[in-house]
Amino acid sequence: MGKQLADKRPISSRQAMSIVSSTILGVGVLTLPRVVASEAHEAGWIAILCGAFATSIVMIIVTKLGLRFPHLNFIETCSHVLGRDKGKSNKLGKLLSYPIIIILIAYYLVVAASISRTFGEVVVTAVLKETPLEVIIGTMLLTSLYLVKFDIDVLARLNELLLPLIVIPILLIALLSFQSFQLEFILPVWPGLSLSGFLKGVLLTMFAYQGYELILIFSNRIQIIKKSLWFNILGIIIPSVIYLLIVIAGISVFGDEELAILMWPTLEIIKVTEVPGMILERLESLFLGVWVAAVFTTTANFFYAITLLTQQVFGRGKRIWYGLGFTPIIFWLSLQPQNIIALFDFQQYIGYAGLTLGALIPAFLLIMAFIRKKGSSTGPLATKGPSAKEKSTAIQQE
Amino acid sequence: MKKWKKLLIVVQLLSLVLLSGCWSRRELEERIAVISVGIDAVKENGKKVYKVSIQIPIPVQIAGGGGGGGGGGDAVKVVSAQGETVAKAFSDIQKKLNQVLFMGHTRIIAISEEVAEDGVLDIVDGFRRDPAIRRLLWLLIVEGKAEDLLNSKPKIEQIPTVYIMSLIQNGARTGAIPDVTLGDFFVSISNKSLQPMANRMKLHEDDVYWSGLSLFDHGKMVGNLTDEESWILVQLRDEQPGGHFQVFTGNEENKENIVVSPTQVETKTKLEVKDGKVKAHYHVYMQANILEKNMPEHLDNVKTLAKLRKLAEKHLEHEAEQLINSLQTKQKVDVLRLGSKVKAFHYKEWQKMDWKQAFQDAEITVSYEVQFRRTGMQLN
Amino acid sequence: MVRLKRKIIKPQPIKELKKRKFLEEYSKESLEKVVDIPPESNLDKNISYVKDVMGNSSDLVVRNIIIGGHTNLKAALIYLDGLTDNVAIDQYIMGALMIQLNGKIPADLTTKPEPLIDWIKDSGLIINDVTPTESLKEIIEAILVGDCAILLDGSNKALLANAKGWEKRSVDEPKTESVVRGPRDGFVETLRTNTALIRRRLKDPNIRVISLKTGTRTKTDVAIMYIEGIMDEKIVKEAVRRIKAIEIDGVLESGYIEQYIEDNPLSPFPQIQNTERPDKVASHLLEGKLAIIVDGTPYVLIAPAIFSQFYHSPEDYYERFLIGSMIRVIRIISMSFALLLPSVYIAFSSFHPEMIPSKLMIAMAAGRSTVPFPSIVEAFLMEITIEILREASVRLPGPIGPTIGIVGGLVVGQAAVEAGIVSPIMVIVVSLTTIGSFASPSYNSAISLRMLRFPIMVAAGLFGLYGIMLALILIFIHLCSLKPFGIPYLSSITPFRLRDMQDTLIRLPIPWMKKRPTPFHTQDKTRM
Repeated sequence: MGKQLADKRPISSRQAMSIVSSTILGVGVLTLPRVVASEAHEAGWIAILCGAFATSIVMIIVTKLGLRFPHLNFIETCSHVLGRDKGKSNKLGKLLSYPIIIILIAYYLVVAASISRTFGEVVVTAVLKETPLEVIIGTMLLTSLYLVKFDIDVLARLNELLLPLIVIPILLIALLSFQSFQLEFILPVWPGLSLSGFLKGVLLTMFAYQGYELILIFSNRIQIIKKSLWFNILGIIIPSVIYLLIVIAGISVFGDEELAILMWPTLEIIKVTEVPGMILERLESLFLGVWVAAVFTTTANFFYAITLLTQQVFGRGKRIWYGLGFTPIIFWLSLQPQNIIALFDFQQYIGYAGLTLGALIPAFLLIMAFIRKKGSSTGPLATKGPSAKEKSTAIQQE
Repeated sequence: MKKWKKLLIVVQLLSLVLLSGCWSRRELEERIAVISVGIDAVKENGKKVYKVSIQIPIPVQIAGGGGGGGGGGDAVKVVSAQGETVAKAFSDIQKKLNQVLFMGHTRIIAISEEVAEDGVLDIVDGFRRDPAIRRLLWLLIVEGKAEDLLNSKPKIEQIPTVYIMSLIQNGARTGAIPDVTLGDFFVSISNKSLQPMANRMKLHEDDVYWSGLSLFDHGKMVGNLTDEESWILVQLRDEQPGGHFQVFTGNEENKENIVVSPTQVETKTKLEVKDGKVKAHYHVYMQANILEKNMPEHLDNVKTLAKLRKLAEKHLEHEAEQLINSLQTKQKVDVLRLGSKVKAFHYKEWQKMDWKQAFQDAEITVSYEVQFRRTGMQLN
Repeated sequence: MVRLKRKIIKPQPIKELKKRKFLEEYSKESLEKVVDIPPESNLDKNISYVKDVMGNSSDLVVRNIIIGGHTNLKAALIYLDGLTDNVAIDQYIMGALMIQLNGKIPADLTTKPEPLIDWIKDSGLIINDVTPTESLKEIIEAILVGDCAILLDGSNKALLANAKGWEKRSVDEPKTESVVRGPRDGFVETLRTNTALIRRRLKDPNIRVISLKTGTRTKTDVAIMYIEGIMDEKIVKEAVRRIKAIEIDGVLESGYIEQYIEDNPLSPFPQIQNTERPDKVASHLLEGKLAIIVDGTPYVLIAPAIFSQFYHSPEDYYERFLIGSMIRVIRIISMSFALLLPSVYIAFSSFHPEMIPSKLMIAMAAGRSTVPFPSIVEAFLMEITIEILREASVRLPGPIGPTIGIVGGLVVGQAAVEAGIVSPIMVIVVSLTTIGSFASPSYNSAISLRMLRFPIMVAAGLFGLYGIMLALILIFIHLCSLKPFGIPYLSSITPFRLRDMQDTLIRLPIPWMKKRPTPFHTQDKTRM
């Protein structure tokens, strides 16, 4: 029993945290300081904190939903919550859950496309000027496709492996840039913002957190320990700290007015950052090189979730074939925005959609489950005395 | 068999990629590294156009770089072209060169005074958009022609740009030259509470030297500061020590004086805003050494030093007052960063006031506190 | 917990399968037909059977003797010349049977060969290991491993006396894994000597040795050694299953076994470690791994292997903590040099020259101005030259090998620079890469890095740093997907365990490492 359970749940909670963090950290960091500065000005860092707080609340909902149905995958959860009780044929539930799944898959496709496009844009603008955009997007997608081939434990391990590689450089850069910190730029704390303007800033920062909702898709493969929820929230805290530092760095180095007109503010921060004793100059190419890992984990995780969902819908087939089918779709979608300004507009729509889907669907499901009294309300660890204990020890061993 | 098919696909893809070429690949020697840019204004058919000059190193002429070459010949080449816009001029320069221009190593952008007076916003715009341009390069205003700066031959370094660059870099490190880079210039342009400034260079025969600061108002040069004024400015603004100064101890005719070298400066600002009127007080605490004494009195007692201290403070306060007076009345630009301080600490009032006017009306006072730490190896 | 999957025998096309089966059946039948006849009481007949089966090989010795001077007691010794110890045969078999038994044979036994042969086994031969047998097949197998068969006329029982003795290398210093500090003994080609070398270090009654034979024709002895109570039994069972499933006629080196039982044969990374050092094997046994010792090779396999142990060397533990950790960090740096340096050079010089300091950039441009190729071609040219030099210097006769290597490297490098084919920086890059790859303590991991260097160089030539990172991510995905014997290859880095970091990138002082590494699911989790 114990062994079987662990086999079905190959993702440790630390890996779940890594998945959340590395999915969130992606192209968002490259533009976030500008987005925040243009709406919330000097109070950008407060907006980041508020955004992190709001996202954490959504994360609690998502995790609770996962813990309520620990053995069901997302589609089963949907149809179970919406349809009739288990044991009877549940065509109604399936019928009701299909629209949700289709919308989710469509949304994920668009997100994966916009991320690869954005990264393609920054690479082409800043580093590989003569390389066609299509090649950058294509190579990124093909690399993701290679990951889709493998089981989910490989994805979990890869995320865990790459997370330090993503976090350390950006933290270093944020910290080093504090050498040109100017207090006057970051004050006043509250530059007379209207509440609606500030809320829009918060909303825009929340867009940068999109990706946390993937944990819902993987939740039935994640080991459950008492601190599962905390690990998931830690997964949000890691990117928040990075966002906070990079936004403060951006505002304190450039001031919000300059920051608001920089296309890729994070790259400009790196440009003015001098690494003491470093042989190399101009670290932005190096940073973009390292940042491939961050963008890759985001794209690949979304890609993986798409194929996993499709596989679950059809109930059979290999993910790699679904992946092969979706690659041209994502590729085509990513080439739709005409220029970078259109892309940024497009990203805002995606952000709104993501906020709606990422927060409302789990909240709706959780409320429905609560009303219809489905799933275990106390969570899987507290159910049955000895067997639960046995489960948890078995889980922790792995 | 399946494996082989897979391999075949991979091989085909790979060869496709390899054959279609390495798009962005451009070898070191296939790029012409522009290490400095000079921008002048010239008359062409009665119209004023830009003359852009670039300095490029000739790798084989530079010592240590590969055998063969060496000996004789210049280490750098200056190429120039004219155009209505800077970008146009650059494309004309490109026509004269066999390889592609590469701006990633540009260290100096020199603009002649004449151009600066007409405004640099249109020049700077192109540099802002080019991802290869560094933010940490030096924007210099040249008294005379910028081209001459590129053509100067300091002889100590093979590449003149490297010489000028290190001249300013070392000055900025010791605090004698204000550390204002192109990035700072950009920030000051877009920031409403700041006014841009840039270092000035002067040419005298083969010598190149720093001669102070040029002040800008919205991209247009509005005035200059001499080297001594600049030092006072950086003491007030950036807590940089600045350069040596002379304090007359007697009356100026008998030329009794001491030469003082500031080593450390700490500046405290007191800010008061009332009814749109700004009252600012700068208090500068300075640690300094005495380098030279040209007077009969001995330095070996505390009283003399205290007297000299007072004299030095008076001298500096006087200089500072003159500087601020000139900033408020003559150039009318706030390079003291006072605006951003007002914005940071008195945001409500800041929103109401028109800073340009408010700065001119502001009441700015300066007090110095000088402490002599050392007098050198000689006691008296 | 441990998931052990992977079928050893891959489904093969029917055609090939049929062919193989046919061949196997044929050879088996021809052997079995002869051998299954029990030894007849007629000595000559038995001898001719043996000779028939062995095809009258010239090294087969058949020595007819008379036991104890009784002319009716005819006997024959059959053995393979060279596999047996001549002294043992002369003195302890022939001498005993022919001279010492003179007049000592009980009179009632002289006419009864059947009980006599038992009597001879008990009181005649001065040999430690004597087994009676009634099967000709066993006799032939015994002769093949170096036993001496004693056949007696009139008896259908024969004796197999252990007189093994052949030319073998004495225990010597390991050639490929030398250390500054540490034991100097290395494995040899004899299986028993090797197990003894391990046993001498681990005087633990819980050591278990499972003996197997593989190779239908070589009949190579394979021993699996592990410590019961530490080792996860599931892994042992899986290893035994995989070795038993090997279907091949010859196993000439442990590499054969390695390639049959590793989980992903197409991976560039080794999933089973090999070593010449008994101390290394002992330490891995203590960590809950098993050793596979194969007769005829000094390379012992350690399975399951995880990535981090390929840059660990026994010396890390013998030197003191700070030194051991520092050496390990240096090794990691040098291995990343070996993997990445040429591609980073390519990326910098053809894609990101803005990252090189201006002065250096001008110097490099001057150096490259005569080079007619792009930097990727230049790098490939030099790397391949170095690989050729290295491969050639392995073949060169001992004393001049290193000399030629140095001379070749220096002369070719210098000449290439002077001829303007490569730039001076490239020579530095190539030498650093080569030196870096030598710092790796295990040859097979170093060679995998050397190999992966080339695809990364291609990626760098296409996309600069972006390409390098994509290639690295592909490698990372592959590394994450490897699970030798169900254990994640990157264990202790991912899945991350703080406790296992005690012995991954650096090494904590030995008294602090009270727990065994967790990835191997050891039964006994503490060291003390």
